[in-house]
Amino acid sequence: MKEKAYRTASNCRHYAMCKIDYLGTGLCASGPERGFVTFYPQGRMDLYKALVDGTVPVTPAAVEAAATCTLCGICDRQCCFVTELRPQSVMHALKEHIAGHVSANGEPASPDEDEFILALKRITGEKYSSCDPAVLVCYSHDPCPVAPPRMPKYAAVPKTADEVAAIVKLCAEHSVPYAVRGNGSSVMGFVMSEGLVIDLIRMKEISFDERNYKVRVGPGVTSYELQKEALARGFRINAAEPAAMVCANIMCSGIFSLFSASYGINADNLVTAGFVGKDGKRFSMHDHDSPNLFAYSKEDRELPGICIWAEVKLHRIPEDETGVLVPFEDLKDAVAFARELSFRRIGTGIGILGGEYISVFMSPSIELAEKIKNVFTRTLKINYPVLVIGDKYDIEAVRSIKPGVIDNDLFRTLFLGLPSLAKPEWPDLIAQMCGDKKPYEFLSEQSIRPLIEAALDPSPENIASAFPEDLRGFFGQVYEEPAMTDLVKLNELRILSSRMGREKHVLAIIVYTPADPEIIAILNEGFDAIGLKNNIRHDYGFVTPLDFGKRAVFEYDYYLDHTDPAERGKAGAALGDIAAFIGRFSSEHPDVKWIRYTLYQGFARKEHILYAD
Amino acid sequence: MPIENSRSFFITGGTGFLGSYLVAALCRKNYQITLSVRPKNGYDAETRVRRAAEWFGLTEDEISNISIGDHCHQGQEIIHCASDTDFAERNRREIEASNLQYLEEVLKMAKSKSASRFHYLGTAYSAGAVEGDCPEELTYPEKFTNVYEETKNRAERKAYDFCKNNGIKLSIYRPSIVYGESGTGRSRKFNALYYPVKAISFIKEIMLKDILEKVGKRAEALGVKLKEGGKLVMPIRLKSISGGKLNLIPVDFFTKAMTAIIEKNTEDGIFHIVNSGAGDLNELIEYTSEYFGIEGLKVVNGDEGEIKDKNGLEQLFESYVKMYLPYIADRRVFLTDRTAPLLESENIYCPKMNYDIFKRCMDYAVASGWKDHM
Repeated sequence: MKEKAYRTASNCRHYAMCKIDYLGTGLCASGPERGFVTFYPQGRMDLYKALVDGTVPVTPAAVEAAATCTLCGICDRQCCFVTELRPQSVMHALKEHIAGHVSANGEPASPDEDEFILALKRITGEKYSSCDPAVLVCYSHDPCPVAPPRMPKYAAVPKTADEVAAIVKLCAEHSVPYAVRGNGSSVMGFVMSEGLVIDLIRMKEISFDERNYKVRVGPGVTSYELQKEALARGFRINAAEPAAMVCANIMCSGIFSLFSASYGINADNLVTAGFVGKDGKRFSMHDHDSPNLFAYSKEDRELPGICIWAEVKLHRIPEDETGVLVPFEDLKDAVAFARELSFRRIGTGIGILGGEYISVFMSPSIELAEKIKNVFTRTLKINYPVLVIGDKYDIEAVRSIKPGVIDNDLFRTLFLGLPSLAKPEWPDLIAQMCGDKKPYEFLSEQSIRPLIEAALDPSPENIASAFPEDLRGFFGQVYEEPAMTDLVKLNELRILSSRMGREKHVLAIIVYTPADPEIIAILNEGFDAIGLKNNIRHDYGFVTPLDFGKRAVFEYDYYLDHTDPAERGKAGAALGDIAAFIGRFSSEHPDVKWIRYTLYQGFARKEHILYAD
Repeated sequence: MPIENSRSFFITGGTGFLGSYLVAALCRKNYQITLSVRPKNGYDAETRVRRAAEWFGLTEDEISNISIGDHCHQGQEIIHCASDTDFAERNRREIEASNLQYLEEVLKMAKSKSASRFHYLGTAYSAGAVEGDCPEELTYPEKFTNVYEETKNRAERKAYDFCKNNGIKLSIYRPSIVYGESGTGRSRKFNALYYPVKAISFIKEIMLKDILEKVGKRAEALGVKLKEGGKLVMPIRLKSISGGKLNLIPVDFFTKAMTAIIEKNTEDGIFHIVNSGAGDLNELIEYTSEYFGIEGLKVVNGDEGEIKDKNGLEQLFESYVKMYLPYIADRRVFLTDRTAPLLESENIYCPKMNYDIFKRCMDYAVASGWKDHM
């Protein structure tokens, strides 16, 4: 039991999905109450592992973290949906560990507090600053293979911009370095510090200005929370990963998604933003004398301050909007098609997905994902489905360019019938009966639809059967909700994307590139070769055309077991090869740009990033 | 102790459907065999050979006649069975690689190792898109039905030219469509004849489930009904052409025939291993309907044009039928002037497909869950 709990705790990927209420279960109650990650399931997983490893002793915060878990089971549902992990076993083990310690040794003593922490507490209030190792350890590491753990001395969860400004001044006075953190879900080692970690999760302002098509967002607001609010008002934002903080995401690399095909990237997504500078003074991007954050240069840069709010653009949504998947066997054909759509202004969201993406996103388990990937890629020859989201005119245009699309009804049938689709009989039938047609063309024949439905038996119960038995009833209800199988909603809220890291931690390599099929194919082959050379799992991610088909954003993914030092080593070596490959390639093709060089330049104009030399 | 046979063979494709039957037959006759086998589906070469041998029930002595190797020995005979039987144009590159480029490599090996004879396993359908008599000769048709036929025809010509130029004796074997064993129904592979039958069986199952366990709306949308008495009506019209035949041979006949020709023939030659009493699609539909207890399958004359107002099931079968029509309604007549006398002298005849044979084969396929034993 304890071993299982330890294994589960070690495998937390820090994707922070337990911090957003994406299944309608509510959140682990102590998290929003206390703010520190330690009081969310993610933190308790880290804490349990640290206690077992002996990295931290049992402390008052550890006792409190264990005591505030009510064993309600929300974390099991949330985490199982994304990662197949069952954190509740860890929560039981944590409680048992703490109870055993307290019974043997009595209540633990509070850690010594120095002048800095006392001052910090005066700013935030007693509860919201800490130097307790049980709190700090949850801010000390992430799964990045090249970022060693760094234990901070302090952590704070301020509520207001004034508090942030005061903290920054305090750090300057005491020469304490600090790192600023949203949800820490970037998992690239950017949000660690030996000094103070400022966690902005409590700063949850959302103020709509519908007349001006913008919404003001605090740095503790996640993409999911903002998108939900925007959708409720009939608007949409260009959102990144659901648990990523909107401000942090803009600040870090700029937001891109499949909707970037029309909404753009980086500065396109916002009106303005406000900061607390390093001197603790505040400024806005639109102040005449503020630093020029619109400019981009290919160099490591620092932000001139902490983003404490951003005004994000709101986009209207047509009532007749829907999504379709246009299957392609060959990447170059898919890129050419997506580029053409973008060039012709067809579609609001466009993305070329990979077989890995679509099967992992749709499947509730690793085992099913593997089978489904084979069905999609080997049997149906759907290697590169192009997802297009658009209004009825867009979709009509797509169909006229490329008949044989998977519309949302068929997608829903495949999704809810996924366990049946994984059985060999059905795909075999399609493969054998399709003659000289491509198997996927066959799939989209309207007249065959009743047969497909009869064969796959699509239903919430069917897809829920892929979950562990005790959670099937719950997930059956979750899949009753049409949004769970709606291509538009799934891409607005992106709740499935964290499944990318279910089997292993995902290391995403992202480049801006000309939307040129040849160039993207060469990049894909290069990344593929690096994965093979380093014996590390790897796969194509996605491509989205940008700026009317002139450029594209391309993601390629590597996967590693972050708990295995050998795999971390291989991933580190692969990263070296990737840097060299992109360096060589971009010297020949200067318009290919690694997103690594846009770090902390997320406010820059896309034109500076994509086109300026 | 088995008596060692003086002839020995290097065989490609020896773990494939036809190749494995041939290997088993030659092993039983104590010929020495070298098999070129690649690892596949997670099995190494040795395991693949061992699994095949076990399926055929070969004794350890018989198995000991087989060795695995990438190259033939000096003076060995080569039997080239390796082939890609895919018809799809979209897979042309892979089909050409298998049916032409690999053949070229094996031919070069035959030359470098002074192979005493080259046996090439072709197909009767290399005759191409023609009608009427197809002689046991090299042919140069203007058109082919598909990339398979085309590459197999090109391969014959390539083998012929190469062997002629290099003084290697050449035998070309041209079977028609091969199914399981006529006597037992056993088969290592369930393709060709089995595909549409399997499809019918699968569709019947899901339609019955829809009718019996759901409200049957999907079955209704496809025009499928359950009659009193339990027969399922599946309205599927299949397009055929008048006078078209379906030339099926059981794999036991193929094996006996090819083995006999290998043993008895000493000259260069092309051999049609076909059924002189070819049946037609109507018979197959009759057997299928009877076997699965269904009604509604019907052959319509496609000479008069396309079937109108196709339902979903007909749509499903359309592409299949379109691709296989030249085989299920075939106007080619494969002459057997060279082969027939030789086989008759050995008392080898091809049984005509009938319901009993069909039932035996389908019983075995169903019992195997339609999963190949490859």
